[in-house]
Amino acid sequence: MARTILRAFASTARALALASAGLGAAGVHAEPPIANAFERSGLFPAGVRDWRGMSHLREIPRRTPTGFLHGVPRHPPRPEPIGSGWSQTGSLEVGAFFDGGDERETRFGRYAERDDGVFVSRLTALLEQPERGIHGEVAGVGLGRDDGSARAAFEWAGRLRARAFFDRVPVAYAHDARTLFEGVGTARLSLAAGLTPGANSDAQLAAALAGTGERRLSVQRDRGGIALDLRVTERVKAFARFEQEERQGARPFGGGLVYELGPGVPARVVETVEPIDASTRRVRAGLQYAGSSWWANLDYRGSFFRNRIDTLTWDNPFALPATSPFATPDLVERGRFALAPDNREHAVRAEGSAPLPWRGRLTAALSWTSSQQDQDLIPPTINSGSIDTQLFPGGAPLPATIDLDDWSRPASRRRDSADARVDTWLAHVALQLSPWRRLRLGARVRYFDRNNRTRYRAFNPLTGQIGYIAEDAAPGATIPFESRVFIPGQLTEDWRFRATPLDLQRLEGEVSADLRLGRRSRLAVVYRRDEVDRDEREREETDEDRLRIRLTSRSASWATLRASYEFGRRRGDSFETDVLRRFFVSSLPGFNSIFGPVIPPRGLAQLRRPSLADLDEHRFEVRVTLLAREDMDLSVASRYRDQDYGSRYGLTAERASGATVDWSWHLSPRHQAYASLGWERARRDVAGINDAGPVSDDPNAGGAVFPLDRRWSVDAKETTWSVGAGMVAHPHERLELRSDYHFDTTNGRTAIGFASEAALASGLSAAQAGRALPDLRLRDHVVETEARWLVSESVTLRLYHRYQRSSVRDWAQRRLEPQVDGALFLGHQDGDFEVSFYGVGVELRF
Amino acid sequence: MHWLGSTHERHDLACGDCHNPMARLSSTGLATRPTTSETCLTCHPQQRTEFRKRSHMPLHEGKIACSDCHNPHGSYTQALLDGDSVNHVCTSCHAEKRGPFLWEHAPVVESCLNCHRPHGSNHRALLVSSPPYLCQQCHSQLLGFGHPNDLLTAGNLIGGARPDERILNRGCVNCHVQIHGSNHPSGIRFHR
Repeated sequence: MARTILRAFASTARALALASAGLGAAGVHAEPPIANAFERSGLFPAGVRDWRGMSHLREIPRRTPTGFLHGVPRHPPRPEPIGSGWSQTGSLEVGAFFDGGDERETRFGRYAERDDGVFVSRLTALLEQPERGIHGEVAGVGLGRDDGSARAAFEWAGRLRARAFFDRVPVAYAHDARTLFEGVGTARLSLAAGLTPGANSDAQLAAALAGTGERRLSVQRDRGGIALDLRVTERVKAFARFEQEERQGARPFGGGLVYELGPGVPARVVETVEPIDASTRRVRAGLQYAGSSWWANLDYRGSFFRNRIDTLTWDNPFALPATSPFATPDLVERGRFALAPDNREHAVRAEGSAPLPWRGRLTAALSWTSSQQDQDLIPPTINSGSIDTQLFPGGAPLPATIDLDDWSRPASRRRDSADARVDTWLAHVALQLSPWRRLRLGARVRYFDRNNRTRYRAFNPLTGQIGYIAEDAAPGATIPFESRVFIPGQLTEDWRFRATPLDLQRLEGEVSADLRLGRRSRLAVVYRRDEVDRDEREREETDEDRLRIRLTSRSASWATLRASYEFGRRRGDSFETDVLRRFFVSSLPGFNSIFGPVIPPRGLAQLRRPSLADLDEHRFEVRVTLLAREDMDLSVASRYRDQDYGSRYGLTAERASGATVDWSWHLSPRHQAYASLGWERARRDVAGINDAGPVSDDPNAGGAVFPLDRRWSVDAKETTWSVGAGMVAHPHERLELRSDYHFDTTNGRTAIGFASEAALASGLSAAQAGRALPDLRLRDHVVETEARWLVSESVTLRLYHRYQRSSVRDWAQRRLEPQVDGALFLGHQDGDFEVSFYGVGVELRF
Repeated sequence: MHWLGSTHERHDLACGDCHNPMARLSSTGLATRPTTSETCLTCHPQQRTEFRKRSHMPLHEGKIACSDCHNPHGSYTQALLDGDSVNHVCTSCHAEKRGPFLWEHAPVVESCLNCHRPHGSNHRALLVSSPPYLCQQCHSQLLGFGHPNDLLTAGNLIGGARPDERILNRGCVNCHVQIHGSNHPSGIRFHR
């Protein structure tokens, strides 16, 4: 018995050492799980469970300290000796998939390849020399599939660990996209033959759409990397990682030209397709020192994003309307986006931890991150021609013409490249002291600083003018006063011309006391203060205080209780709704408002953006894990959160509550079952006032611009139910059956309130508007069944079936067609589907 | 290093709540469940439901693990994020959203969580709610002939009296497509 126990401890110690070696990889960009939708549960070789129990000492299932039953482990692989102290084992599973039903539906294959085919569904190979602690393995799932992943690892216990990995994720966006553009997936979207940029009627577009087919839009994310952990000395470990991610494909994008100009003159919007061809390289390296009581880490992370397609140019499908004799909408032939710029980020972090008297510990960290990009800028527009900026005939404006040739040449750029940079600093100090065995006191200070070093203003050095060309001149050419070129004395709206460098400083402090109540209970009280100082926001400073009380108890032998209550209160200095005035042309000499002496307010004075608003928050959470019987556990959790933003406009309140019940029954080592039930309800209340036009400079609710009879409210409620049940059974020691069922359903109700019809967009009547949106309804049934039959010691047969039935009713996509009024969409809707997906696999072990 | 005083430590979790070296219950990490994520979801059932919502991170598809964003052994943040801030964690994968851009959008700079749920949502793109109402919780601008404060209703849906692109499909983002920031000299309003 003693030898058995010693062996168990030795095994435990080695296993923990291996686990701790892996901890360095935990966190952002840890190596990806070797899994996919077909093989989610890790890389166990097939085979029967090892129901001899959880330890060498007892056979009944054991529990975690919280009280959850452990599962029944599988037989570990048993490497076969192959000579010279080496042993090996491995397995290869060849699988085939077949599906039937609506398998093309986007949501069914959003992150998984569901196509029919035969492939290597799982591979494991292990080679080791136990005497020297050398271990190598290769593992993979879905090899050759779009959702496959693989890993190779070599480890010399206590000295080094090297890994290489590869992971693929397909991301489907639409299976039924219809577009008039050719060149999808490239930087140039050209209208199909027969259509003329900037000169097509809606009827012509409809005729062209009738001849288009459905297209699948997806992005493939492939990621591969290598990692090395090296134990330099007994106490120092070095690690280095490199990985590269490639993304290729296309996804839905937008494209605005002009807004609605009234009945019969709809907005002109086209849903374009963004080409994706980008890579991200990530590097991480560092040192870790782990002394007996002193610890230190030094860590560098670099991330380098490269977009191989930096612009997207697309033909304007529409003939834009002319609203005055001065309008020249036919010059708007194209639009062009600046896509995500190449960028790089460097982050350095140093942290250390030292022991203190009173069983204390001081931990400190300093982190610096710099994000930079210096992408070449494109000119303010791609179109050419002239637009007239005169306001109204007879309005006596200064005559002015904007020659787009002066805004579409490289020389019209404010500068050649973006020269953008943001640096952040983080300092963190935490202190823990235990002056009394039952009491621990803690304190933390955290300071975060975001410094945006980017300065930019819209300015054309070629013409010497402040301004830009909005939406590639579509509004300016259609509606002359919508020009965004500032000409002193010329009538104009007020618009922003300078970038707002959004800086932020955040100081958080926390003190805490943890008191042991007896041997098995713990009471914690935490007070936290969060002071945020923002630049260029309507509220510069906010202070948030939070008090949290937390109780954990295992006093009852049959239960673990965790309960907490938190109260949060945010306040701050006064609101200044016009804080951005200096970024707008109304701050420039020569500004001449088209509204005469009135400069309309920048927004509703009483609206409070949620991150700046006052806040009173209550949050409760209770979780009880019951050891219902020796072979059963039951967990009940409940939560409630109430956030009141103390505002009448904007997001005024949020409430969320939920509860879950989880039950697990280990009827015998060969039979387990579980069931779960979840419920949650969330509510968000938003309110606003539809403005009455630029009739005054009064920003207040109830004033001339924001009269109360134009007030509106939107209260959105969502209720979600989630039910799950499943079982694992071994009717024979060579046969394992698993079945899981999940049902998730959501009902969302959006109630609309308005004081009068004046609050409504587009001049609708109250009857036309209604008092609610159609319900959001989501339903999802999934049944998965799997059988594994150990045909012999070296052959396992696996049968798999997944049935999924899903439906979506979303008002935003309801009856969405490729052509709606003046807009062209891709016409994709998240649709209903019903699919059966079959898999069969044969695993050979060697 | 940051375990002491971390959220998990304060909840009185023990190593054995997540790890069991005595039996082969997981393929890696000596976890008490077959995968890291299953281990986490044992105590976090709310997140298990969220990952099944209409738009979600591909956790149940096996392509992401909780430990991609969180460090269960402690970090600088209460949510055990493995990064200096929420945005650092998100943009480590979504590097194209990192910028920095010529024209920044304040809520994006402040926290991705202003508009997105990190695990899953009943709305598209993990949004906390649907546009235009999500956008209107912050935008009431008038700015001459602006439109952010119009109330859009069922009458503006397809089949209604006046369909309006601001409430259909991607809502406001149909036009303000570069909502995470723009690098276009004319991208002030995130159109380009």
